Amino acid sequence: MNQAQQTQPVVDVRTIAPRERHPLIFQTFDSLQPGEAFMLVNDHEPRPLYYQFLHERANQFTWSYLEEGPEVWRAQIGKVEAA
Amino acid sequence: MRVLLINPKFRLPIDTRTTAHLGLAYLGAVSERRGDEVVIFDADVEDRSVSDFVQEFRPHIVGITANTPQVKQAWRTAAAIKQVHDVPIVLGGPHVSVLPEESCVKPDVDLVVRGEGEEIWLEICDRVERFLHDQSHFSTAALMHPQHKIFADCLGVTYKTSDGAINNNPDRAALADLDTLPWPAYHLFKMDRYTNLQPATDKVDGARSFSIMTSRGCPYRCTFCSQSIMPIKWRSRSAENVIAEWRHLVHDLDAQEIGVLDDSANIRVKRLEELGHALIDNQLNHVPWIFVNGIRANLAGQELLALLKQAGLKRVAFGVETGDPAILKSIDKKVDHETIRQAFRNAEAAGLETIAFLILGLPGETRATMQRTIDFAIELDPLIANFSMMTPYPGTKVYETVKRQGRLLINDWEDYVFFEQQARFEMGEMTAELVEEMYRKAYRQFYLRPKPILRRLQTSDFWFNLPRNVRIALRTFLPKKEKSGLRRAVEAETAI
Repeated sequence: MNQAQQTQPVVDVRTIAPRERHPLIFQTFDSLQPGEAFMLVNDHEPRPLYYQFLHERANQFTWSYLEEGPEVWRAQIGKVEAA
Repeated sequence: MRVLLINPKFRLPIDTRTTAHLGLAYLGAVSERRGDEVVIFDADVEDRSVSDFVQEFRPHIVGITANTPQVKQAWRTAAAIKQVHDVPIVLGGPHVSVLPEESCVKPDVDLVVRGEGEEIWLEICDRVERFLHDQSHFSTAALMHPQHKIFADCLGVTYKTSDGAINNNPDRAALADLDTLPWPAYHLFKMDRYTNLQPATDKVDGARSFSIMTSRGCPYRCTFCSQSIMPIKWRSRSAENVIAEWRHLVHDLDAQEIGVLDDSANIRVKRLEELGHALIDNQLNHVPWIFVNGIRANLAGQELLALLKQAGLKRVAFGVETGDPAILKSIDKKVDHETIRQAFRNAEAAGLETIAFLILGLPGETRATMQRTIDFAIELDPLIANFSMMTPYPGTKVYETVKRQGRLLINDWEDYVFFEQQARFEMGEMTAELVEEMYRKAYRQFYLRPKPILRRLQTSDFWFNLPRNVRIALRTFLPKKEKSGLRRAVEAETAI
């Protein structure tokens, strides 16, 4: 994990009720400035969330995995810089 | 209370396994622990009608389980019961968890349980029992009267008040500690009426064949998987807790085979290692056991498989799904073909039999990609290659893709029978005829090779099961030239 990643906000949804997770994640994303990112920590593959981002925030986000299971997933979700 | 739990009739089009329903076995166990008098009525093996039985037993509550192809039979069962007895009827299972309102609006269904059932079921029973105490005469209409608000804060249920209003309560968190569950209540089943776990391969007395669940859920989200419909956090039981039940199956119930029914058993490798050592240390490894569902290929190292073999594991299954790299990537399986090859090599080195689960007709497939799947199965050469045609279950990503870009050939939930040899959708150049042709070709090309034929002929189980094996072979291998049955039905309906 590099220094920039260490200072990123972390949204660990493992202890959050399932129905509250996606709203919290989108709220966090929407509060980012262009070029900023946050770290999502989850206990399952967040692929359905990725598809939701593709649908609801198309061309506005970046997504990269830092850890891919089998018990913990860490994905860095960023807001693209304005062109 | 008198509790009746029902598995609706679910006749499959081919001879296949019919085993005791583990979900009902758990519900029966928690109800008995609550102090209820429990009967499990599995319509697949019962001789009498459910109406007859209900009139005799007069249950205080009825729970009916339903997967997708069973759900209409569940509604019919509910209707038959209500005609002869006024009782609250609760539906549960994977299908109604995804589409709770579809079932709840049915006039004879009162409540739907969404997600894992045990805790919600107990809470429903507690509330019904409290209500019963205050009533001189029971009526479901009174129980479900909107003013009583009996289920208003019961998490995980969808229910219908007697004015017809549907209420969707918030979800309930999955059971955190699986060790708190009692053992499945197999004594509530007519065990002598079931087959063993894999009757096409093993000749074992069905009454001595049991399933066990050592973990629940799966953290992966494959696009085709019905497990992802009801995303459940992966949790496991402790090795001590599993061993205690395993000992009960072996010593008290005289198990001759045990099937591990976990959705994804090897998520935590260390846990399986502990379990393997415990089976050996407790001298429970003389009874063969199998992984009924696929385990993760990327977590199936040789050391683990060798240990599990020593612990009694006879057969391991892997979800291979497809032989085409692009299709494999598209289904979010998060594994590559080299990893799958290595898992099969590891299993072979450990002396384990293998099963490969393969799917034909995934979105984006062509004749060439499906042929790659057949070729990959032949390369892996498992004991059992289980090819199936893609069935897009509601709630999966594949279902959404097919609805948007393809043509569903399924009119009816009863067409979702997993073993029915008919394509369920068409998409682009992938016609139903092509998928059905490749499905038959897959079985012919894989099984009509000298090695699988010799392997089969050399087992005594093959000869014990000869009539059954011939029936299945004829049905599977014979070419079928006419238009897909489902497509014909859809076109006929459109014409009207």
